Amino acid sequence: MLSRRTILATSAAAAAAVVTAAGTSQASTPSLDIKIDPYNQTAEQKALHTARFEKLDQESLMSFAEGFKSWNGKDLAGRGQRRITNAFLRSKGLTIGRTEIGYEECFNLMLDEPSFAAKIRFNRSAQALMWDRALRAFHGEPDRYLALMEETDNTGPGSLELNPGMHLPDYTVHEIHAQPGGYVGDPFAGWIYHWALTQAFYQARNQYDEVFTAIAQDCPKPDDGQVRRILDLGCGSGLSTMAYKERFPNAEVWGIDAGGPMVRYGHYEAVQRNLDVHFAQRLAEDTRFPDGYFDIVSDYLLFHEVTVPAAQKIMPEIHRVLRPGGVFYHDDSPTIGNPNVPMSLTVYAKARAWEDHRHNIEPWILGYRHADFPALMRGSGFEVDLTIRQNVHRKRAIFGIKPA
Amino acid sequence: MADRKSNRPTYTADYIKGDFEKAVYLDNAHTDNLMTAFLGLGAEHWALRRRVMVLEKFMAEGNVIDPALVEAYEPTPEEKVTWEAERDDFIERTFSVLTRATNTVSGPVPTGKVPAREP
Ligand SMILES: C[S@@+](CC[C@H](N)C(=O)[O-])C[C@H]1O[C@@H](n2cnc3c(N)ncnc32)[C@H](O)[C@@H]1O
Repeated sequence: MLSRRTILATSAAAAAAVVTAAGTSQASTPSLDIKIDPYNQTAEQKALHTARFEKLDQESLMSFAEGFKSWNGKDLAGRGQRRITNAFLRSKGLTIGRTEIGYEECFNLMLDEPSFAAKIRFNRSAQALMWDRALRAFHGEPDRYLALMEETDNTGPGSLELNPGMHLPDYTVHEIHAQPGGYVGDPFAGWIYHWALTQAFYQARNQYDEVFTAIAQDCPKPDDGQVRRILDLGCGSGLSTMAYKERFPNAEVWGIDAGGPMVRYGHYEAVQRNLDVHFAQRLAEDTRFPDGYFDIVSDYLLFHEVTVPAAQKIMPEIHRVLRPGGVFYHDDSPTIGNPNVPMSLTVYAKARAWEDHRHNIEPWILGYRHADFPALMRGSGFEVDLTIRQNVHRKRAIFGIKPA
Repeated sequence: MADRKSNRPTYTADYIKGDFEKAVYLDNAHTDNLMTAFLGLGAEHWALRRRVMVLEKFMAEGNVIDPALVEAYEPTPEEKVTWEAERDDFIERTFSVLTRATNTVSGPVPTGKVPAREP
């Protein structure tokens, strides 16, 4: 029987060898910087970055979830929907502009509009379908996937640190975005996050980890150009962590995350890609690295999943582990403090935000939206740079420089 | 922590369970459940269509079809584009009824004219 993964792994190994060869040949240059075009990858790069289910049907079910979420999403924000929403709000004597009505009330109001209610139902059902069918794929063959991780737990390249007894703050153990078991409660959380969510969520824009490659490729370097060590906070399945290593093969790259199953998968996948990356199950508020250790600290989609008090602890920690002149690269959804991305506070927008917060289980996202993130950065000593760069998320990203 | 069935380490921890599975958004739980099942059927239907597309491809090439080949088949970049367009059409024609504007139909039959439909 031909294995889908085996076929791919052959070309992945070949491609990985190329990356390593480039790194070794110039080992004396600490800041070797490899350009990869995320959207025009070579066949080898694609083979390296792909995550395909073992069975055609599993892949097809995920393809449906991806297409459906995309259709539902487009339609929810589309012109037809807006016309229906506006007519509905007017009929209720409500403004179509910014409102002071609370989030939950906006959601409950909008549920009286039948197409909105149907769209919410389908959005929730599509999310559940995506998780459920992915879970079945891995839980259908648990021994096999556990064995794959056991094979790489203690082998290189790179390293894996798991801390099974560590204290996990309650805020990290919710079933965030309705992912069964969350990041800590399912043995295959890392696989599921990569193989299901990052494919379906990015709606055909991330079949070859394009989003993560772009994030790493877009990261600005410190002014002196030196990139020796990089830390990726809340690294999840390690996709951006690996992309940093691909860009800076000579740098020491670390990914840390609260979820054991997340970093465990990250390490498994880094071994498949022959990348020397270090993964550790640690908390962002207590990274345990020495002062001034890193040239770059990045976080992608971490802060909307932590409480405001936790964010107030994480920020000084980032500042502490960065060296003077080091860069903090933050990329997450908009907050009121980012003037580059005005936040919509209409009844419709608040209803959708409530859906995400309460029905998709994003317990901390409203606190994050209403926190002034640049102010939080400044409070810890960062110079905030709001320059809009050629970033995959352009206006969203915020850069912090630790003054020299 | 350990997988209870096999006693192998899983590095998991206790978590806080969400209540999202209980939510009802439509008139009653049955309608919500029907919608979820309907979506699941859509997914199964698309999986079958995709399988048939792979089978047809091998048949057109005159091959004896080895199920392992079908299972491992990866669409070419061109096929990816056309298959996704086909999927999106299927989703649109099946589910777009849900986006219609609704109203109570009452009073006299409408009398206003609109331009003829384009061919
Ligand atoms: C939305 S995911 C993003 C993962 C990854 N950066 C990506 O985009 O694919 C957020 C991650 O942050 C992790 N996380 C949440 N709070 C954390 C904390 N205090 N310390 C470390 N990781 C944390 C979660 O376990 C989860 O994997």
